[in-house]
Order: sequence, then C-alpha cells, then structure tokens
Amino acid sequence: MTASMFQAQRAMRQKYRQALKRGLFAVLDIGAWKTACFVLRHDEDMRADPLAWQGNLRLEATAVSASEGVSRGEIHDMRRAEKVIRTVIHRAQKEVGECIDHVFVTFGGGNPVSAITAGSTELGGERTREADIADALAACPLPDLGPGRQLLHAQPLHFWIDNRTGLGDPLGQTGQELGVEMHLLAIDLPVFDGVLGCVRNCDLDLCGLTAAGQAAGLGVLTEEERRLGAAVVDIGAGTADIALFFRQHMIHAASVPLGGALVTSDIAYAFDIPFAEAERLKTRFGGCIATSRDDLDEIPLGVEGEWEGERRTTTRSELIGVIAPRMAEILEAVRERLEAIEFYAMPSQRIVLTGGASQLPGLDRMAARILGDQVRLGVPIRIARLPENARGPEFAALVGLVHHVMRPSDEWWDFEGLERRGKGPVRRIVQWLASNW
Amino acid sequence: MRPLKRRRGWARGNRFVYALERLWLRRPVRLFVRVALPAATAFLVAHSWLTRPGVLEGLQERYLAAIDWVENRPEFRIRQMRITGASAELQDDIREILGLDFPASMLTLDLDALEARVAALDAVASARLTVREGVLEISVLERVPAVIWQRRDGLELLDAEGHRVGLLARRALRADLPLLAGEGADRAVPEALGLIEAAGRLAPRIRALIRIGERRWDMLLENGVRISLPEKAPRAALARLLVLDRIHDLLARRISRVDLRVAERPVVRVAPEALPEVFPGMAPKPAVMAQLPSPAADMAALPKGRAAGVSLPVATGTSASASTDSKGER
Repeated sequence: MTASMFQAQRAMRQKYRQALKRGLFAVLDIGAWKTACFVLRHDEDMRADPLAWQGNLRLEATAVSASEGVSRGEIHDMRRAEKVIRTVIHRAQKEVGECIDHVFVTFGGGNPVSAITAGSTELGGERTREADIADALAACPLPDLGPGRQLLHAQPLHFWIDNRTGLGDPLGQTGQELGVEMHLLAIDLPVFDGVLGCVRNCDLDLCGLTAAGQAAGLGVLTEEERRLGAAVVDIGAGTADIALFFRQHMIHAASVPLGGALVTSDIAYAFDIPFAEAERLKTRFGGCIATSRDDLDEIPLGVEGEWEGERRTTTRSELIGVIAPRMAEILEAVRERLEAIEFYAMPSQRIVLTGGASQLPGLDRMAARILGDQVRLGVPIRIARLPENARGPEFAALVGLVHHVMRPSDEWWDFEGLERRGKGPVRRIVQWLASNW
Repeated sequence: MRPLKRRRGWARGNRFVYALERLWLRRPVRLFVRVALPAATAFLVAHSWLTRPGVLEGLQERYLAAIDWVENRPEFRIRQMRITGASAELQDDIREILGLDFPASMLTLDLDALEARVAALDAVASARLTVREGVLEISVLERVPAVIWQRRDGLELLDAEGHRVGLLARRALRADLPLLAGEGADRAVPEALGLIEAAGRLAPRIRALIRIGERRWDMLLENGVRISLPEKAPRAALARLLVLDRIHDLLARRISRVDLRVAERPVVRVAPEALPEVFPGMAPKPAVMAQLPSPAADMAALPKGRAAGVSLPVATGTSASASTDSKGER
C-alpha cells in the first residue's frame, strides 16, 4: 500500500485535532431527503452528565433543512447541495452565535465496497513496538477495490501473534510473527470529491467522512449487539445503508441505492398527485401491511391544478398496495447483499432497521418475513439536550456520528511511521512538516 | 418522518450572503465594524473639520458668547448691593472687601466665599448673603463694642464675649466703655462686665479693671485706690467691700490698696503720704513703678483729666500687713 492513498485522510485527522482544539464544530448528515446538522462544543474541563455517553461533547444547536441535489447516494447537483449545506450551517450558526469552521460529515451511498485484508511482520521474539504494528499494517496487500476509489475507513480488526488471535492491542507482547487483519471500506472517488468540494465551497473544513452505515450502527446498536454481531440497515430516502458489526468492529458495509424517496414517487405516479402530497400521504396514512379495516379508510387526495371542484379519494389499502411492493423490493435487495456476505451463516443474525423510511408502520413485520426473525426497529441512543424532533430514527446516522467523533476508531493512517524508512532526525523534521503544513 | 418545508428566499444559501454572515460572526470583525470603524470615521470627520482655518476659533468665540449670553441674562443679573444691619463704616468696609463691580452675574459670584469673606471681618458677628430680584442683600449682625482693652500696642474694642470688634485710636472716643487691661483680659470679658455691674454705686468710679496673671482682677478706682479681687467669688468680695465702704467709708480714706484676695483677712494699705500720720516716725519711701503695662498716654484724654501722667502706683514699702501672695503679682 502506498502513502498517497491516505493523504486525504491524514489531512482530515489534522483537521480533527484542530476542531477539538477550537472547541466548536458541527456534524452534518447529507441525505437525499434532509440535511441535518448538530453543533457540538468540546471542552476538556466540562463534566457532562456522567451517565450520558457523550463525554466532553455538548450539543449546542440543531438545524435541519430539506435536501436538494442529492439522490441515490450521490451528489448530482453540487451547487444546489452546497446551497442546502449553507442554509443548514447558517441556521446552526444563528442559533449558536458563533462561526462554525469544522464539520464531520456522514454520507450514505457512494457505492461502498468492503474488503478484508491481512498482513504480517517478523517480531523475532522481541516485544511488539509501535513500529512493528505499523510494519504489519504496511504489509497488508491492497485488494482490488475497483477503479476510481477512495478509502474511507481502514480499521484494524484484530491482531495475532503466532497462534494467538483476537488481540485487541498487541503492544508489548512477544512472539515470532505479528499479523493484523484489517477492514477496508472504499467509496467512489467522485462521490468523495463531491462531498469534499461541497464542504470546501461552504468555507468549511472537512474533519472526517464516515459511511452512513457505520454511523447508524454506532447510533442505534447496543454494545451487546455490536459485540455479538448485528447488521444495521439504515433505510433513508435515497439509499439503504448496511453495516455489519462483529466484536465491536464494523466488518462489512454495503449500500443499496433504493430508499423512501422511491416509495414517494411511486405514490405520486400511482395517484397522479404532486410529490409533496405523496409524501404527506405516505407519512400520514402509509403502511406496509394492509388489513381488512384499511379498505374502509377513505383518504382524500389533495390535488393542485385546474380541477378545482374535483375531489378524488382513495382507500388506505390502495395506498398500502403501492407502498408495500416497493418496500419489499428494498428489503429483498438488502437481503441479497446480506446473503452475498454470508450474514446468515453468522452466529447472531440480529438485524436492526433504522432511518427515516423505517418509520412506516408494519415494516418490522414485513422485514421479519423477508430478512429473518431477529429484526427490530432501532432508535438512536439519547443525547443530552437533543430536541424532541431530532430523536427519531432518521437521525440515527447523525447521532452515531457524534459517537464516532467522540471516540474515533483506530484507522490505519493513525499509526505513525507507515512511510518511514529512515530514522534520522532530518527525516523526522521533514515528516513533521509534511504532516503539519 | 415529518415532511420538511422547502423555504424559498433570495438569501437562502446565497454564497455571498453566507460568506458575509460568517465574517460577521467572527469576533474581531464584529468589534472592528462596531467600534473601530465608527470611532475612526468620527475622528476623521471631526479632525478634518476642526483643522480647517478659523473653525476652532469660531467655535471658541461662539462658546464664550453663549456663556456671556447666559450670564448676562436679566434673570441672573445683580445690579446693586444692599447691606443691612451694619454701621456706615462697616458698610464701607464690606464694600471694600467684596470689591464687586455692578452689574454682575449671579453665575460668576460664589456667594459662599463672599459670605465667608464678610464674616471674617472683626466687626461682623454673622453675615448672610442672598440675591433677590437682582439685588445682592447682605444682612449683617454687627458686633457691639462692650469694653476697651488696653494693650501695649494700642486700644482695642471688644464685644461682650471678648471678640475683637476693632481698634480704637483714643480712649476719649469711647469714654462710655469700661477699660480693661492685662494679658488675657479679652478671655474674661463677661466676668469683668459682671464685676462692673456688681460694683453698683462704685461703678462710675472705676477707672480700669486689670487682669492679673490671667486669673483674677484688680479694680483701679479713679482716686488711685487699687482693689485686688480674689480669683474665686470676686463678686462676693466686692459686695463685702461695698459694705465696708458704707460702714467705714473706707474708700474715701487715704489708702492706696484694698486686698481682698484672702476672704478671711482683708488687708488695707495706707497711702504713703498718710504713713507718718498713721505710724508716726515712718518716713514715706518713694514709690516704685510697677511692672504693669504702662498706661497709655490716652489716659490724659480722660474727660476729667485726672489720670494725666498717673501711673498705676504700687507701693512697695512696708505695709500694715504682710503681702500674702506676692508671687501672683509680677
């Protein structure tokens, strides 16, 4: 592996430290339906609620705006996406009364590709030093991730020394050979560049980009579920992001470019009503499983246009008849992805559904039929001072991102000395300059 | 999931507005725009205007003119001064010491200071200055001279409390007032006045009261008899003397001194010229001048002219009784 691959990530890590030093930053979820932002204050001296998990972070403000220019997990209109980000940041700044400079972003989609790679280095009976870990990480071969990819995460899953596996931290252990298994997650380079460009055009510094799947997993899954193994499915408007957790680490991530926005457009087509009205019908009357009672529920269709006197109605079962096949299709696609990585061979088959579209009534029963028995709906863990309207499952990724910012996972590029070959002081000065300027 | 409203507005997401707003949220920028910029602008404008020739002088002129205009308003003008309760001389003194030019403005006068200056005059017991309808009214309570105090360097008029009222050129000018002498006499004026009152029919015959050792009085009568009064209860002693005088006609005899300092034993000193008569064989000795303040030449101007050239005689010759407290008399 070469150093050039993670230079962008190194730069982001530098910004991350700056953000903590500055003490005020924002986490941003750029979705297809909404762009949401939490403003967080970081203070080393602050003693937050000891029971709350967010440590030295305090939520200062929240801002949400409807998204534009983003669909199906990619930014197709950068200027409109920037506008939305500016609107959200503007609102957040207005609430805080300070200028926000640093943002952490979570973004769903981007066609993520997961790969596991492993490498090893000789210890020769010596104690393991940090340099040995770096050597082992550097020895990992880069699997073929496809052309035009940008590494998003490269997290060491576990280390082994000779025949002892599952070591969390091998530092100081002795043995002959140190090995590491690493999970790589890459997304399409245009998507990465698009997000980076949008954030830069808003005069913000990007301090980290996290896959929505991982963020949702951190926000929704319990500690137990992450250890025993669970898949989180974050069904948003544009994409359904899947992340598989096992032994506290994300071991796989995937994304299905289908989401709640498709359901809405289906309704709009089916009943010949505007998109906004279709969204209203979906959120108000929608469901996944029809009952006989639903035939009797008449739903007025609000129509704009020239037929002013005309009033059309439909029944709830008809509406569900439009929604259910599409939701089933999304869940089938998710199941396909899970089958492809042999999720159903894992000891635990827990699936947690979250995201905005997971609020459709009856989705858990439908998912139980399609995905497996152990399905539950996930709501993000509580953050102190989080307003009521930001506690729904559509904020799972954002809440998870707060978690991720507070306790960032070890990444490959956090280990110093990956590119080090010589140990001279001049070399180190040059290295320092390169990483700090 | 709640439907989100898409808000429209010309500034929504506008890049320029956004950048401007972010700039505004920076503290130094805000401080600069809110404080430094207005201050600098105000300074520059004021500076460029004031440094134009003639502007500053014009402003000064107008300022002074405005002050003048206010001060010379008829409401504040004082046209004259009226002094009440003072004699003509004192009025002149007050006018001189105040030195005001009329018309004056009420705003430029410090009434308190003027009042203090008037009250500082010896002849003024208290003064009150008020301005009423353009007239500065000075009501003065004048000190009334009650006694004349003879000192080495001249005569002073004192009021009943011993406060100085003024100087007196000659004794004859105020022959109606009793004469005091001796150090510290001014501090015991009420006592002296009491003695004179107590003297009764003797009062017209008193030439002077002499303070001895700043503690007791000697009374000098016109016929040269000196009455030494005790420090304590001098009025009782005086009353006793009056009784003696009525019974024995004491003061009409040829004596030079009556010593009443010891109440149990009044002593009378026989006049020197009467000595041979009283004590045959004793020759008169020359009198020695006492170390008392020399009597002023003004004594000559006493109406009856009797005191001319007369010093206060104290005989030092052997007296009928031993002098009991010679240390009191210096």
